[in-house]
Amino acid sequence: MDEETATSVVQFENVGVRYGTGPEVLSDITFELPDSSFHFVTGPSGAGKSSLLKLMYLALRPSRGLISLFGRNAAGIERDELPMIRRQIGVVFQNFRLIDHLSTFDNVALPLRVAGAAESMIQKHVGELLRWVGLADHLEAKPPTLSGGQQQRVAIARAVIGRPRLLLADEPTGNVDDQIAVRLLYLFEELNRMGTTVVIATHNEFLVKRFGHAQLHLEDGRLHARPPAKKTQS
Amino acid sequence: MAERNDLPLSEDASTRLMPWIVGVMAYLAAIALAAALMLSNVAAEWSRGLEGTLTVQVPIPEADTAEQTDARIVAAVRILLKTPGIVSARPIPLAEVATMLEPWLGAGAKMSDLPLPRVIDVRMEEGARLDLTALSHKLNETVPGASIEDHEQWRSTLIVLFRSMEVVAFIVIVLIGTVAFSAIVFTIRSVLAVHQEIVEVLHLIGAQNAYIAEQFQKHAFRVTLKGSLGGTAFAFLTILGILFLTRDLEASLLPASALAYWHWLVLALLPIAESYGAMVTARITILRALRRMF
Repeated sequence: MDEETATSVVQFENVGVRYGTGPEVLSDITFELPDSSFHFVTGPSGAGKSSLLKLMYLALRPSRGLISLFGRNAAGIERDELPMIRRQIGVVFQNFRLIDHLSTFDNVALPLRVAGAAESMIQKHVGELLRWVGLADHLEAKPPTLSGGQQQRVAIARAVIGRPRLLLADEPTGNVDDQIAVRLLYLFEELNRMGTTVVIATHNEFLVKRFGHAQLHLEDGRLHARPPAKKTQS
Repeated sequence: MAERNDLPLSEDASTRLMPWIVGVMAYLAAIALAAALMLSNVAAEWSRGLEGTLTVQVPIPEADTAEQTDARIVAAVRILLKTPGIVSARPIPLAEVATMLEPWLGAGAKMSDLPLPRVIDVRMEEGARLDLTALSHKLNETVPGASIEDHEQWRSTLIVLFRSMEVVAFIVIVLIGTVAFSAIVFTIRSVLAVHQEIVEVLHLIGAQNAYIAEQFQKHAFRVTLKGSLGGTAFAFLTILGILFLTRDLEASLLPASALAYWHWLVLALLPIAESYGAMVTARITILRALRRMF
């Protein structure tokens, strides 16, 4: 699709963020994510990657600047509208934020349940997805009994189960070896092919090179857009 | 197995005690309500039982012969029956008076030895208003010393007693309700604080406040139903026990059927009413708290 005419899913204009009266953790951030694009957010730890994602899933309000989401000014979104907008955003949190007392299955089913999906549909899709991410044998397991890598896959499954328009992942491959990381990236690419805009914060250079998508590179709270890394051969 | 809930409410220390607390409150509420209903019933029976009756006392001088005594009573009865509004006037036989006085005087007391006045039981037409002063005056012309007792004084004192006990019972019910309400509100708030992380995740994946409130209200309903069923059952046992132990007293002092069947029904429906009350309280509390939080 021609990127000039594509509608933008996310648009930032001179966005700045500070916590309390501290210094700005993000300054003068301006970028645009076209529909169905795939971006890596890279940069050293503490460069503001997580804050950038939080702004996109509306858990953080900018102290200045303008953010548009799905063509709407984020500042103008009413509280009552938030749930409907968040159902179009899948988030893989850095520390997963799984619900410990619910089984793997119920954790992944949660976005569908809060959206009021039919239980038959939930049974079908959740089972299928969990098989795909290799957790078919752990449907009833509680997150605390799973390994870090398994928890991460549950978190990813929960983020993608609702076929979101925008997928935000904060270090989604931090706890798995490169082989599983590649498999998970394929899952994201598959979603991306079906129209989901994907943003992945990572400092796994191997993945960035291997998949070669456009980069939003953060350093000291400032954005340096980078062209797609040259794809390496697998 | 318990129903799936997105919040681990049944595992919380703060909510694990709730069925017991609710049980105690439900017990107290049921007892207080039963007392209120019973007192209201008793007061109504008292006023109904004594309304429309008069007692006429005819003093009998010691010098009287039996014939003179009878003549006095017959004269009094005749005057009474001639008065418009009076339906019947029945002289109470001495034997009956003896039975009534037995608890105080002992069996076999010789009535003829006592200067007892003779008593005439008078029944009036329903709603009849008699000029008691005029009637008393008229009676005294023929039967000197005759007096009329319309029970008004004694009745109104008893009714005041019962009604004030009834009011106290209702105040107790209101207090229990207030305490229960506050307990629910504070428990919900603390539970919400404990599970803020989960609530936040639910919000981030697109849950509406109503969805989150539903998790809490389902739990509040179940916990209250459990506790109040237990508490109300114990209250039933207590009331039945009291009624059983006082069954002899009932005949003479308390009017029969102190609790009507619909009273029992009201008491039996308490747990359901309480559970719905708890559910609505939980929902309102949680929605208000969520609106403040985010």
